[in-house]
Amino acid sequence: MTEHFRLAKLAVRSSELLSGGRLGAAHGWRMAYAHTYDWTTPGGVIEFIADNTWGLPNAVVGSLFATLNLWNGVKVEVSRASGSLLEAGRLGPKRGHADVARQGQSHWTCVGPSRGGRLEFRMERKGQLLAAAGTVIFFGLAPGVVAGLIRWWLTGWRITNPIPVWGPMRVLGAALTVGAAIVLISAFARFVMQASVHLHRSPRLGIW
Amino acid sequence: MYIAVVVAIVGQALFLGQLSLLLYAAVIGVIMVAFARWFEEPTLLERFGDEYAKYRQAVPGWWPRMRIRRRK
Repeated sequence: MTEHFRLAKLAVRSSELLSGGRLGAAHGWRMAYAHTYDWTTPGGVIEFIADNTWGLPNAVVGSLFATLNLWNGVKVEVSRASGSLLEAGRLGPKRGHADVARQGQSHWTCVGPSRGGRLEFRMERKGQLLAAAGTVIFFGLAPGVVAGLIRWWLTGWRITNPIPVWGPMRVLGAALTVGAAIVLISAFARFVMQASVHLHRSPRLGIW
Repeated sequence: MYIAVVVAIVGQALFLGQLSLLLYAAVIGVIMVAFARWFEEPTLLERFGDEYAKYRQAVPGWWPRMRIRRRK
């Protein structure tokens, strides 16, 4: 009996993972390609390049995040087509969730405008929090991919000497790399702190 | 941040002795400067207008500040 229950649960989880994967793939595809680029201006071409170098890793992380949420039992409701992605998850405050709890769903994701007074308000804040989290991931990830992952993919860790005495340049290179890393990490830390301050101070988020 | 990314690549190019990475750094640099010049700046100016124009006058832009700004 218990074994059957476990198998059924596993089947449900697998289908959730599959739908999460499909949703994530569609999301990534749309992020990267469904954007309309204006090819007649340099700005449009640059936008395309930026989306596919800096935006793509972000889309991949977003897709994984969506998959993970579905795996954890977060429900997706696509009842109305327009609106922003709102989420009321287990991280949210317990009060105001009465109408959701009545339906026996403790956490769900709603795509499109939702009704329900305070609940809607809380969900909007949750959406803003998620957006902030996404931007933080982007800020941390993009420099890492451009200056780290792609750099490594190009030449690996092979060390060569372009001219016989290269030692001093190696020291200079190490110093520049460390200095740049410090600047990037401090910029990232400052951004995270300012984002959280903004979330707490915004008048619309007053009761957080 | 854009400059730090380019410097991080140049630093690794010198450290590893892989001078081809300097070309990669140049390509990334051109892409980022072009992105800022033809997409980011016009978009921000359109969205924030005067506020952004004042901000641009107050900061050195591409040149990093050597002194840490003191709070009054």
